Amino acid sequence: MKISDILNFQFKKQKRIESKYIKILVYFLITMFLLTFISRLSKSLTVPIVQTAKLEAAEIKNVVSITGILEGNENTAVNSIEGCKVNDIYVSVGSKVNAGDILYQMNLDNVKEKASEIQKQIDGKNKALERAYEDFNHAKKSEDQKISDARNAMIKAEGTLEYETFKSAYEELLNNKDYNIISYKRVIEDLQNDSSLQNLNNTISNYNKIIESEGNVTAPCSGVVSDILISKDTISEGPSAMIITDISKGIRFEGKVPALDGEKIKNGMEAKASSGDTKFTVKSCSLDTKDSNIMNVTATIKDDKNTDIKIGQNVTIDVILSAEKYNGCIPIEGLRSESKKYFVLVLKEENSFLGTIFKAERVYVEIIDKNSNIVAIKDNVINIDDEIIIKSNKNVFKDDEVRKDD
Amino acid sequence: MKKKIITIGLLVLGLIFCMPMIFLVSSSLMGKSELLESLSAILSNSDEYVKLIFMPKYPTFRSYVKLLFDSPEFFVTYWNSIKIVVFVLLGQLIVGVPAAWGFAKYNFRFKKFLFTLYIVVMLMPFQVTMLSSYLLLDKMNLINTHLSIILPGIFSTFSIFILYRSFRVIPNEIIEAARVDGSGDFNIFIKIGLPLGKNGIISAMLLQFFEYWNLMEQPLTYLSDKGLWPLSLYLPNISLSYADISFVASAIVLATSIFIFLAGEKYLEEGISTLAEKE
Repeated sequence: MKISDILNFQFKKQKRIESKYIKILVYFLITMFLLTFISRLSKSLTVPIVQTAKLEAAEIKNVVSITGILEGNENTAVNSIEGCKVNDIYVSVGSKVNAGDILYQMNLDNVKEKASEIQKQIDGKNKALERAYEDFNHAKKSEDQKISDARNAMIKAEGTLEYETFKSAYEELLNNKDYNIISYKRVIEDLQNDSSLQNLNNTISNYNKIIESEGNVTAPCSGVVSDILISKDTISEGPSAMIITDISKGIRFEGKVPALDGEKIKNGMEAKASSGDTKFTVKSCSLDTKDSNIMNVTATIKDDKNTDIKIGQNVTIDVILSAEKYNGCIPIEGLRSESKKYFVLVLKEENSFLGTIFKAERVYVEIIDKNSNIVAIKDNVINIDDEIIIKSNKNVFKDDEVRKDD
Repeated sequence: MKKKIITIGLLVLGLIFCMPMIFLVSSSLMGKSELLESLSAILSNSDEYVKLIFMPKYPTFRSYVKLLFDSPEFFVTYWNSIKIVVFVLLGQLIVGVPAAWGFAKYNFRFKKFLFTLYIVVMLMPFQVTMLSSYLLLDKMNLINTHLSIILPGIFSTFSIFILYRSFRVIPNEIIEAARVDGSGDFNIFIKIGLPLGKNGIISAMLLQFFEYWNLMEQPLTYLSDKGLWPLSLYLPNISLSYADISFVASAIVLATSIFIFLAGEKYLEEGISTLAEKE
């Protein structure tokens, strides 16, 4: 090996070492770049994302919420034929109907069968009346014959010593005539006055109407279907199939509330449905007869032309106990407390290595008024432009870095 | 025997000089409690000395994980430093190298005066030019931007001084020969000046890298936005309670410098040696 080769070898070796360190440097920088991304990702996952609100004027209403049901003031039951199959129902709860509109259809054969059973009962009762008349006529005839015979005997015995005996027998028969036939008369009267026969006649009349309309049952009056007690393809069980409410006669809210809350409610107080704009006026609030911890509240709808209202609907109404307007209000979620002191977390901009970041600064506040949704805080503590944390995806503590929700 | 004693003596001295680095690496591998225990003398302001622990009792990479995976602030400053250094060096390559070549190989009026002025400016500490530079940069709307560091850096006279020396040792005969062969000034600069002055250029760039990698006064004066700060300002901003992170960050900073140094060690040595050569 020549000396020059050795020199060249040394040079190449030196070159290799240099390029090795340059490569290491490049890999190092690439690693640093990847770690930059990972650390930012990690930061974005750990920094709480918050929603904020600013101070704004709002009305704080103290309300008592009551859940109950809407009922009509005048309800009409649509009669049903017990034991008949319901073929189809043409209305649903809330449907508006006019008198004569078809509500549902029953199985015609079942109705005819039931009508025939009723007819048999009517026939039986008529037969009994007929027989009672026959018995009465027979008894009357028999009594008349006895009186006639006694009278003839009395006439024949006129001028004899036995005359007085026959006379008294005749008079006794005459006097007892009504008494002897009265039981027959009463049977007739009882049968004639039997209301069940009248009911049966009414029932058969209704059944016949249904039969004439081929099983269809019609609305007896106009209104809104507030309840349906039958279901399709089943046998009707009760005497009523549906309830129709005449909404023109008014709608009322019936609800129950714990007595502690109920005591604050007075007649005439205004209330509003939790969802929607329907307004109510409290008409009565009284202790439940069965449970002294519960109070029954009745309220009427102020504007019952509201088309959203459905009879039978479960609603929650908020009875407004008091209402006052404040300039500095925030959602109640933004209010925090520690050791009986109230505070809010306000976003504060901070110049950091990551640029401008937000930190949660604790600001103690004094409360003027609050309800379950809003809190009014005393002026001069928080600026109108301060952003107050009201929601976050993680717990936020004093001086924590936070990120605003996009 | 004498040689051995000298060798041992030098090794001991070398070890003493390397102690801060050894302490830095060992501290970066310590747990927080162990580290705070070793630094308790500083934290409690007592008269005791800091305990130098070369081997951690329970070595851990927790601080590395904490810094590298959970401290994006560190990377912001790291890349700010890289950005400043890269642009300053690129600028110096474009501006400083031709300027040094001009001083070294051309004769023109006031050359000596200008070069003396360059040296005077180079010798001026930052504090002297701070106010005037600030006012000028403010007028140019460059305050609180990276350009306020990069722009003065590009026109740094220090690299011109080093490059001047390395270009100066190139024999004029070579340039004359090239001229005779019909080569133009630009061609001579590119084909003769740059290859022959390569060692000096690389060593100047390396020295400037270390200068701008460790820059403190300029960013502190011109950059108010922390998001623009370089790494050299991140480290002093870490409080003692985060000393574990501080040591790891220092180790990473050191690693970058070491890799750069190792990659250009030969050129650095050769480039500096030219400074000692007689013209």
